Formats: sequence, C-alpha cells, structure tokens
Amino acid sequence: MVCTSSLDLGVDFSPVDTVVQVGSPKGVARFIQRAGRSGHRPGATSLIYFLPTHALELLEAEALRSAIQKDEVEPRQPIINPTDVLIQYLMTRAIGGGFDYESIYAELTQSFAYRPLSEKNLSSIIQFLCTGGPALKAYPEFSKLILDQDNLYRVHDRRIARRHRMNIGTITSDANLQVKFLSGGRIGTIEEWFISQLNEGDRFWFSGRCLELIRVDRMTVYVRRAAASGSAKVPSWLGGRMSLSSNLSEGLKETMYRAMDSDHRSEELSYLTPILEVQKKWSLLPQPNQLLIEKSFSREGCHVFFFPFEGRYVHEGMSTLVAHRISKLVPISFTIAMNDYGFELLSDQDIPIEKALDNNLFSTDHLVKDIQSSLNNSELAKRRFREIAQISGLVFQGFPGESRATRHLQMSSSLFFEVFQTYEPEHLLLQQAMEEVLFFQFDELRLRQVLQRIQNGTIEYRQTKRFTPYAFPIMVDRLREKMSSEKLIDRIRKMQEQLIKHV
Amino acid sequence: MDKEVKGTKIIQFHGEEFVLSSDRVLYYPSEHTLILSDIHLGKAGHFRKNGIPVPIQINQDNLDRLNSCIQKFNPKKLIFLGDLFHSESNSEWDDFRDWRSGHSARSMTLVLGNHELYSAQKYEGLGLEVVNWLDINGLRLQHEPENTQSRPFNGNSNPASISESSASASISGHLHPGVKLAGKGRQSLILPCFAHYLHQLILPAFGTFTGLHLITLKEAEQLYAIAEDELIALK
Repeated sequence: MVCTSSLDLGVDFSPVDTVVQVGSPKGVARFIQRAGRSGHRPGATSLIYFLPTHALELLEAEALRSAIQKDEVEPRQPIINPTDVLIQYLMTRAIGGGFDYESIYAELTQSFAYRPLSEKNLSSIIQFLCTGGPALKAYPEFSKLILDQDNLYRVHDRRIARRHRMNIGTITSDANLQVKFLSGGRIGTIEEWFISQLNEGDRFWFSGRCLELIRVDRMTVYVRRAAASGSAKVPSWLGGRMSLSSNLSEGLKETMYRAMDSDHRSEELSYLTPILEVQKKWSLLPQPNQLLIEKSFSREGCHVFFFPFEGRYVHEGMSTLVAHRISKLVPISFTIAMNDYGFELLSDQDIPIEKALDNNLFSTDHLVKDIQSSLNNSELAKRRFREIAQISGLVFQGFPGESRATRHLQMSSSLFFEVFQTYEPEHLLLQQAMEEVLFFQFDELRLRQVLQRIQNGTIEYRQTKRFTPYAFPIMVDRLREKMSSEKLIDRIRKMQEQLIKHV
Repeated sequence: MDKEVKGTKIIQFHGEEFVLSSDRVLYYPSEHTLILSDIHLGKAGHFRKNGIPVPIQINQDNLDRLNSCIQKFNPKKLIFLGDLFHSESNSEWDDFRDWRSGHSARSMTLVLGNHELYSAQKYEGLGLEVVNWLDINGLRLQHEPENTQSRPFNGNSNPASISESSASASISGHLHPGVKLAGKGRQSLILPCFAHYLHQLILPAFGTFTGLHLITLKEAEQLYAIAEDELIALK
C-alpha cells in the first residue's frame, strides 16, 4: 500500500508486515507511530525502513535511531483553549440532545485543554454560534444554535445538523475533487491544490492513464483520455499536512558534529564523508558556535541560506523575522523555504545581506514589535487558519450524494480569512490563528535564546558559486512562505518585464 | 471621458469605444451605459442561513462600491450581466430595493444569468427591465461567454442564434476571470481581470466575496489585470 500521512493515525491494516518511510518523517514520535502501522497486533514486532531522499537525510536517520534508543520522544505541546475544537464540540453536543450552559462549563473545565476557559470566553463563543456576529451584534437570518424554552441549546435545522455530522473530526485535509470522464464515469478523487496548478489542456497521470484536463466545475474535474506524453504531470498528495513538530534539532546537531569526527561514525554516516568534504571545500562545516550564511545566484534570482540547526518550528518564525527585517531596509519580495537544518530566502533581486548584518539582523532589540509585524506581513496566520476554518465548520469537505445547493456553500478558507480581516479583525477564529502562530512559530522566549546564541557566536558568511550540499535540500522545497514589502504594482511591472525577457 | 485616468483603460471593441475600470465595471460612453456582472448579492445571506457566519457588511460594501462607480461615470443606464442575486436573502433584497429607489432616475436592465434566483416579475417590480440577452450596436450582451473563446459566434449557447442577428461579438460575465502572474524567485500573484478576445469581452465579477477562474494569456487579444486601483495590460 502506498500512502501519504493520511494513514498515520486511526487506520489499522493488520496484514501490513513492513513500513518503508520515504524521506524525512520530521519527528521521532511520528516515525515510531508509522513503524507501528506494521505488525499491528498484540505481541507482534513492527518493522520500519527509512529511505532517505537525499544524502543529508542519513543524518536524520542516525539522529532518529539514537533518539529512539534513548527513548527521547518529543513532547506534544497541547493547544490550550482552542476555539475551533470548542465550537465543534458544542455543536456536536447541541445536535446530540442539547446542552445547558452550567453543566457544559463544568464539564469543559475538567479537561486539560479547557481548564483556563473563562465563563466570559464560553459565553462569547455560544453567542457567536447563536448570532453569527461579533459581540452584541446579531447577523440577520443567521441560524445555527438556538436556546430553547427548557434552557437547552439545540440545533433545529436538519441540514446544518447533517452537515456537521459529516464533518466531525480534527484531522484536516486539502479539498478533494472528483475526477470524471467527460463522457461520464467516475475515476477517483484528487487533491485540489494539484489540479489548481494545471491549466485546461494540460495532461496528468491518474489511475494508470494519461488524462487531459478539460475543465473544473463544482468540485469535479472533467477529463478525457490522452496519448501518453512526456510532459504529463504526476500527481502528488499532501495528505494531512500535519503541523511539523520536530525536536530532532538537538539530536541532529549532535549527529552532524559526530559525522565530522571520523572516529565516531556509524556505517550510515561514513557514506556522508564525500558530501561533507564538498561542503567544506565549497563553503564551511559550521561548528556549534558558528552560524553559516551562504549566498548564491541562479536563474531564479538571489538565494540566501541560513543554517541555525534549530528545527523547523524555530526556523519558521526566525525566517519570517529575518525576512521582515531585511524588507524594512529595501522594498523586496521573498519566498521562504525551510527544513530542520536551516532556511532559505529567495528573491528576484539581490538580497542586501551584508547591509542587513551590519544593521544587527539578529538583534534582540524590538523583538516583540518585529514579531508582531512579521506576523501581520506573513501568511503564517492564514496558513494556520486553514485548519481552524475546517474544524470550526466554516469550510467543509463535500460528502457523497450531496446536492448542488450545498456546493454553493463552498468557500475557500483564504477568502474567509480576508473577509474577516477586512470586516471583523477581532474575530474569535482570527484571534486563534494569530495566537497559535505566536505560540508555536514565534515563541518569543525561544527566539530570544536563539538570537542570543547567534550573537554570542560568530557569523560565517560565504558567497558560493553553486548550491552547497547543505543548501540543496532546502532549495528544492516547493512549499514556501511569502513576504513582500514592495508595492503590488511594482511587483507586477517586474513580472511583466521578466515575462517579456523570456519571450 | 476623453482622457484615460488612473485605473481606467479605453479600448476599441468591434468599432465601439469602451472604458474599462479597476472598479470592475465597463463604461460605454456613447450609450452612457455602465455594464457590470456577477455581483452575487445575497450570497453572504445564504451562507448565514446555513449557519456559516459571514459578515453582513459584504452586501452593503458591494452596493457602496456600485454607488461610487455611478458617481464616477454618471451613467443614464445600468446593465447587470446576470448573477445579480446568488441566493435568496430577505435582508439583502431589502438593501437592494432601497438602493434601487435611491437611483430611480437611472434605467436599469438585468440580463438573466443561468440560474437567476428571483423571478423576472420581482425585478420588474423594482423598475428593472429583464431580458435574456440584449443586442446593442452589433454587440450581444449576455451572461455566459461562448464556448470557444477565440472563435466568433456559432450561436450554440443561446436560444436565439446569433447568426440570425446582426451581432458579431459579445460582452459577458459568468466566468469570474482571473490571471496568474509568475516572476523570478518563485513569485506568483493571482488577480481578477478583464479578458479581451477577438470577438468577446469578458468582465470580472463585480462581487468580491467570490473566487476566480484562471484563464491564460495565450488565446486572448489582451488581458487587463486589476491591481488594487490600477489596471494593467498584460500583453
């Protein structure tokens, strides 16, 4: 069976003997969890292979092994007071016979996640479910939760209840589209993000056939058979796109220094020797007190790589912060990629990194203010909001046999995000997105420590002619954050010029 | 309007002059007519009725933007190219009725969309003329574009075949055209646009609470992307 992270949790297939993890699992707990999909019977042994997709993942394999041997599984940081899950739970209880305020409050505060829930907070969420609007303002024609005569909150609309039942759960996924032949006949489902990259007339492989995209209409992709062609795209699935928790970083750092030391190498690490030698020759193998920064140019533009080895979570916040600070010096647009070792800023124009370093790029001054502006100017909150919108029932997946009328209720989470930002910046669910990003990606304390560590060490800046072995895996990452301090109109003019140059 | 001002472009389409505006409307100076499409009023109300909280300001915002367009061009006539109401919504219909009575001196025509929600009678009650399509100066105004965008009419999609009429080109909406621009450094932007084909002019959706359908530059004579308050010709 070939699968994405969608089969990580909750699905048991007892005939599975062996699991092959392709590429980084991005976390010890996840790797162990995946191993457990094999030999899924009491007393049976689980077997997992790790297949690295690039050489540096050998380091990860080694770090994983040592973490598992030492039983160092990363803790799961529970989310406190998540509004989206509370909304879903209240709706579920309202459909299942109704709830009353006092007992639901008592019940909720018994749980770990909602122990700090205030009555005021709960009231405003219930109010939101009853009226749809911000505090003390009811939306006309809104109906969801209704307070009955017997003081129980219930859902009266059967369609709302049914839609809720079909969407219960907190494992979110990208929207799935049906794939159908133009002549009729359903072939399967595919994720929306993949189709959104194609134009009409493009070809892709699906279900063993080469298909031509005719059009996309109401969550359905219409196709016809096409002659196999080399340019046909191969679909990929993002699966659950679970947030990446990774405390591998310490282990990784350790492993990396061990790899440089020829006396303490495992068999896997010895394969890395030639690669580390290339890294050393073209740039530098950074020591624990060094931050390596590499800059290089390609046809795509200017790339700057930073290698703090702090794990993906820290890199998410830190890269946004660094991009924000540079974008204050000069109008510039970035796309940002990251992994557990480091992150990359890519721009169509020269990135003034020397100037930024002279301007205390890693200073801890104004950190809180800079974090706040980074948050406002980046898409991190918008990305986080995707899940919140699904869990809280703003957007939902279609279900089998649904009528067209329900499809009219499909709206992308990013459109909701923009609408709320414009009209209700104080919206409960927007606040949740902001708070979670601040808590996870922009943990101030941790960022401050990292910046301090960088300031106490040395910064090694290298201009490289080619992408180094450290840089390459980050460079090829397609999932990217964006940030820009340029005017929209200027960005478009530049894109137009670049387009003309291509032709 | 003799001079091009910021956010507008003057184009010639089948011998007629039009002003495209970044306000997502088309102005037809010689006819003193403002043409717009796909406002989708009532959509937010439809969501709310189904328990999905969408801010009420969206509707009023659409009407406010429409007012400022009327102020800018001072048209004698307005033509809605279909999908005026997305769904049934009492409060939003009332808003629309009030808005209409504030512009009673201007004539308004609704070209019906493919699934227009209210009956023609209800619109006529507010003093809107309701038609399936409209021919003006050899141009067919209709909701849906023809199937093949680059070809002249074959009349397949319309009850009255265009070949029987004098129209040689069409102006329509329905599609919600958007265009994706890509630049170096893996940057990309998606913007709503006007699509100018040899025999067709397709308007962007006027309503903002709606998605976009991506089209390509290849077959078009010209695409005009809407970047905030500016219009940019992409070819």
